[in-house]
Amino acid sequence: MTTTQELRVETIPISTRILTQKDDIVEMVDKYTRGKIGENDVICVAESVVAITQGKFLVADQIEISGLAKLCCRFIPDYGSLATPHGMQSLMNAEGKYRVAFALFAGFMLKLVGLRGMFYKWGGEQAALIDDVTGTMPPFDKCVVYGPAEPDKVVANLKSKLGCFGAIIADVNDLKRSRIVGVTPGMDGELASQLLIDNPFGNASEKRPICILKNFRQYQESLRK
Amino acid sequence: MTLEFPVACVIGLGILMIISIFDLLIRLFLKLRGTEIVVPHFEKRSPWQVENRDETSITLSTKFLFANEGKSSAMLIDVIARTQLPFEQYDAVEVRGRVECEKYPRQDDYFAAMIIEHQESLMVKALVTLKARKNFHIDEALAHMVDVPIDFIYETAGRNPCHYSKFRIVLTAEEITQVAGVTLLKD
Repeated sequence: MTTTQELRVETIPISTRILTQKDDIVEMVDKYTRGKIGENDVICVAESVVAITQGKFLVADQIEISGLAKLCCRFIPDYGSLATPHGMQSLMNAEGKYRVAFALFAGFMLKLVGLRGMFYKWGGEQAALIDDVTGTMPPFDKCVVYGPAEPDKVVANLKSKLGCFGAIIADVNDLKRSRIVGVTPGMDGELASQLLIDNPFGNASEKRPICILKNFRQYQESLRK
Repeated sequence: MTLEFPVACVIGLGILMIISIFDLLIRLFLKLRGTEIVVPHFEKRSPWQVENRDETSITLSTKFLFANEGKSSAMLIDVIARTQLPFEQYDAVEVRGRVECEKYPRQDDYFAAMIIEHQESLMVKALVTLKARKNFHIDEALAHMVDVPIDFIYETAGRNPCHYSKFRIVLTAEEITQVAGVTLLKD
């Protein structure tokens, strides 16, 4: 538990069992946060867990790989989730192979003249959301996990069910990177993102896909004054 | 407008040359970037040792490296130790093998996929459990032990698609009995 005393914002990680495609994310979050979350709080859910409950993952060695995916993945630095044929093929399956190939070619050319990040802009929304093998907790560590579908609808449902101030779906890792994938209107997603920078979700084995930002409403309002 | 034959030839050759140069540059780029090359170094394993033992069973372990000798990151997705001792050959002992990452030991025979950066390696621990059958004490069962071949089957990926590879080692009866402190009897 971390606390920013002067602003009274508390980050409370919530442990759960491993959630799977058989679970409803809204029902599960409600179950695990009952009695812990109030009307001034924000519920945060890890992006990959939302996607898993939606069944948005593929077992890596069951993906049929095209020659184009094998070639295209070689142009991604090896630390990227699209640097493997199955990662690239997953993106092509979601966004269309020609769109991805074009975005990659154009992005690569523009990178040569110093313009970076165009591939992720043109390659479709999944280009930046896909987690490759090893990117998610077991038993999904052998899978390619997509970004969640309809994140804004999921956060709206979470907020409605929990009666809290807001809800966000976040992509956070131990490298101090935090990105908001879905956020309810009226709350400052970037502000919440900064509070998640220390990754309260923990590593894969810690099974904490949910956290509560206590009294986030007051925190946000105090900064606006 | 129609092009004269020699002009059309020159344009055609020019296009072919551009495509060839582009193809050559891509091949050069891919060659320089390289791929992952995952190599198990069982020959450099640690000596077998007793991990656990009771009256009816003994677990032996050894550690060895999976090295990524390529230029690109690799994923070691799974490692399986498949023991090959049929009861037709020797039915006083049941043998089971498993592999775990040395850094993250587990009890569930699940191998969590790991990344091996290029020119780095991952230490794994192979565990082989020998369980006496037919109400034998483990020492009695091991006294007549035979060699146990073990297939290590491992799945890797990286720039190459997911694929399985395999190597075989033989855990000899002499090694087993020596580590267990049992005298091997010749039948």
